[in-house]
Amino acid sequence: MIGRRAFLSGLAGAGGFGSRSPAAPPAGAMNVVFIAVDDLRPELPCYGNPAVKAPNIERLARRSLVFERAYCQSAVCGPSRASLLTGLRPDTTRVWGNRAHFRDALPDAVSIPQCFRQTGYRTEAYGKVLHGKMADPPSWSVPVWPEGGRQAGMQYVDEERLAAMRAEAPGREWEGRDIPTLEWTKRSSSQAPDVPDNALQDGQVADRAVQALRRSHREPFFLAVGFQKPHLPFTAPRRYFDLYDPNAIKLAKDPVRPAGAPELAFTRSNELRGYTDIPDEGRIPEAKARELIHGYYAATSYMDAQVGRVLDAVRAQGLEDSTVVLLFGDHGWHLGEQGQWAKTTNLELDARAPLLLHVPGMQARGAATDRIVEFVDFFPTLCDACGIEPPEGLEGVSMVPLLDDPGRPWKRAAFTQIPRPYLADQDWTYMGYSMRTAGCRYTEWVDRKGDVAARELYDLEAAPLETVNLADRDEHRAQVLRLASQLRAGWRGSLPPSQGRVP
Amino acid sequence: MIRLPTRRPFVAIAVLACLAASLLGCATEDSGPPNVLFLSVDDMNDWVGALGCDWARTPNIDRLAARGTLFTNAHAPSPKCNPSRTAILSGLRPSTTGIYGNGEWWKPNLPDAVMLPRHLRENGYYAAGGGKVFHHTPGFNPPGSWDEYFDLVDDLRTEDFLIPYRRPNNISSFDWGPVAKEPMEMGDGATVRWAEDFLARDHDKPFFLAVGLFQPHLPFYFPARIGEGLGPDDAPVPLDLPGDLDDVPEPGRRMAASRRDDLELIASHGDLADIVRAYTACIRHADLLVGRVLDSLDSSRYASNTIVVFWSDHGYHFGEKHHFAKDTLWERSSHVPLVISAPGLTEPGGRCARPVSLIDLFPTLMDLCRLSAPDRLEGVSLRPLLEDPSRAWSRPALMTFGYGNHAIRSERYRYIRYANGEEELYDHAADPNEWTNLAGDPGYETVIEEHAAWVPALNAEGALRKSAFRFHPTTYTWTLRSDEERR
Repeated sequence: MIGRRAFLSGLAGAGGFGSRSPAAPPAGAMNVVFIAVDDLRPELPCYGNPAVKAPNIERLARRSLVFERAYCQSAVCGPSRASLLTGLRPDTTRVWGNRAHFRDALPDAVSIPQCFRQTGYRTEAYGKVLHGKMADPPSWSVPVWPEGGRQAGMQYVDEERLAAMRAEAPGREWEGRDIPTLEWTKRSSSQAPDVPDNALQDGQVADRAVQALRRSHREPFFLAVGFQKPHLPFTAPRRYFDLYDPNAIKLAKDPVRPAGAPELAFTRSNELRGYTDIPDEGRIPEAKARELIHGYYAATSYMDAQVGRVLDAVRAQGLEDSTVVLLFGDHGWHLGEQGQWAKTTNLELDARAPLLLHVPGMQARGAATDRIVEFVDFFPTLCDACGIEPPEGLEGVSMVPLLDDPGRPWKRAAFTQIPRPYLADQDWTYMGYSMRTAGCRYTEWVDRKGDVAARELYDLEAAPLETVNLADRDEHRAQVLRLASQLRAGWRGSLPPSQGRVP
Repeated sequence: MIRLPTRRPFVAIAVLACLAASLLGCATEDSGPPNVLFLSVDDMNDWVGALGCDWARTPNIDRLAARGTLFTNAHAPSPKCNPSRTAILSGLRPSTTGIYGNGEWWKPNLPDAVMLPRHLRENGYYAAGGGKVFHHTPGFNPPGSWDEYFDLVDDLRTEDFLIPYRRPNNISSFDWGPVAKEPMEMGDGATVRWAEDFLARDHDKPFFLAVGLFQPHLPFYFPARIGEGLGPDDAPVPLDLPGDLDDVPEPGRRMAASRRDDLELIASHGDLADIVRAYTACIRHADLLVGRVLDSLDSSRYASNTIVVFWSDHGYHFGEKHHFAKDTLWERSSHVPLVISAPGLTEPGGRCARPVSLIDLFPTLMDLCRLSAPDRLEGVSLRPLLEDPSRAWSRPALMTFGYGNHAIRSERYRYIRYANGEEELYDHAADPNEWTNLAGDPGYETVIEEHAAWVPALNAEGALRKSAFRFHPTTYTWTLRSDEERR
């Protein structure tokens, strides 16, 4: 543990963003490997779906605590990541969509890597950590790779040119970087090219993360690795598609919207529309749905293989006992359930996301917990695990106590929000504030004046997904009043019970 | 080289003036012992603008809050007039004195008690009281309590009630509505006029001036002019959550049933909104009178050397937890506005969220007036919080109602323990309405243990009630009735 003194000396030595001489490394400090996965929903063996092949994440799960009820603060990349990286909620960061940077409203905010960097860590990022093209120089000791977090042209392989190259030089093995790719625009929703893993971005991200781990470490490191898959398009080397029998893939059962839910609760699956093989409106045909799920699974397995390479490098370097590993999907995803595809709703499938945490020495290795946690908890958790003093004003709490006692009483609710219209960003008309308690989900759609336009209440003990909106029923009036009051009290009102003194 | 003009002669004059002032015991100069304006209202909720209530409109209380320290988590020692006021003025808990209700005179039960005004008198102060400071029925202001007392002028009617339906008992006070009077023509106006005259007078001693307004106590009569700006929907009827008492233990339910008949009588006539509106108008009236007193102080020679304390004796239910009036151990009954403005000490606009009790006022005033306090006071001085409203504070507030029933209010939780051992726990961070009793939920054992540690060990037997005595108002003495007489 570093402790407060080391933290203070780290601050004194950091001397601003451009400083090349951070404080001396605190002896025995924990490293951090921070793995962000784009659009990964808890559709994994450790979350009860053995159909998905993710042996590497499964391996990590066996030495981690698996959080069964982890909730993002907004089910879209930009706000979710801005929130979790600053430890502040979307109404504080004022990042409600993918266009804003948290430094627009909070120029002096401290991100997780920035905090570690100020403490004397070397901080590096490969792949998509913040959303899109957002670099954040104060956060990183070296520039993010690829610049802007996503390389144009790595979403699709140019299969025509590749075929021509292969015809010209039969028998030659092409390196990943030699594989031709296409300029980014929405094309088909899936692609299964026969290429090595590092023809695509996630493979190259893993290459570089492994290189970073192989370097000698004079100071403790905070290594952020951002995998892009299983984000659309579902491009993955063919062998990952071949892991699945398309006929064995199960489609969403009863893919209809919850009864009595307001229109605001949904999207028209906007993100999926525009791919050339997807109809502009209406239902996704069954055959296409099967293909999409197949693609999502294949992309997940491809990403899992890259996670495995990073974890292997941690072990090969003998760093397992000194490295905290946090892996999460930035939010959930709909695969046709409730008539929805993709994300950007407040529904359980979008708000809930996978979260695995390994801290060397923890008791609950390989256990799962149904305690409610939120992504804003990452910041205080990582600080706690590494003995670093977190900045003041964070809007989450450390999950570290759960690592030894995963059944202890914890948060009473998680809070997630999403603006309307779809991707309205700063120009929203309605904000949907949603709260997940142990037994239900309660959502209010509020206009700019604070008036409630619609409410949703779902019993999630009766069914794991939302099926019937109970908010307007007389017999639920008292429950709605209680939940509305709790929603207004906000996250501060749902913190774990206090311990230690009369607070 | 430029020489600055010397200030020495001025300093010397100021020092002389101070010396002279202190030698003469003059109460007008900053250097002398401070005066105290002890300003209270009756049955007034936390419905104050400065505490976030947007319908009561209390610009004068708000302006006092803006110049002193507003305590946002202040609580009455007991949710009823007499036990609350006796605790505040004696500095002793109801569980120590045994004064749990309105039917117990303090004097014959606590013959040796030195109450706050008397203690100040004995320490060089001139103690003047007006309106309702101690409980307002005869027998609560025995000789020696005050140098000067201006009795409460009430607005009670004996006929021409504004509300046509009556409750069986307490006929005169169960009434509300506008009356054709100006604010200063009401009973409390007389008290305020007396206070204005007091502040205009010369005083050769530092003074303790207690101005006790009766508003907004039942009957909720208000000057018609005050009600004009208050529409029928301006004051919301508080939420009576269906089934709210389902998780409340029996003693709590009994407390909540004490005025159920009144609540249901009012509700059955569709008058809940009307009585809430009348109560709100009474708060506005009280605020106007508070403003008059503050204006008089500000234009007096005592403005810069007078501590102002503003408080209400407890809160009031209008249907919350299916209850009417006071007499419960919940937030609605105990949470009160409290402002302390101490010239030279409090920063303007200070807000303090630490839990405090009005029982702390006695020791606080002793501290601020630099007087020694009687030995047995059970509150503590709030001076540290006046100096730094956000400093750490490990002490919760205690409130008591009836024998052995206590509530402990910390910054986050309210813990209630009834005499039979049954408990309630509310997390105010999540549940400001106290709708969900967490006692018995797993994970709260430590929280309960820590709060229960503050429950007083001593629970005095109830003091002798009025029926045990014969009160002689002319001599202001009491004789114990024989058992036979009592029957």
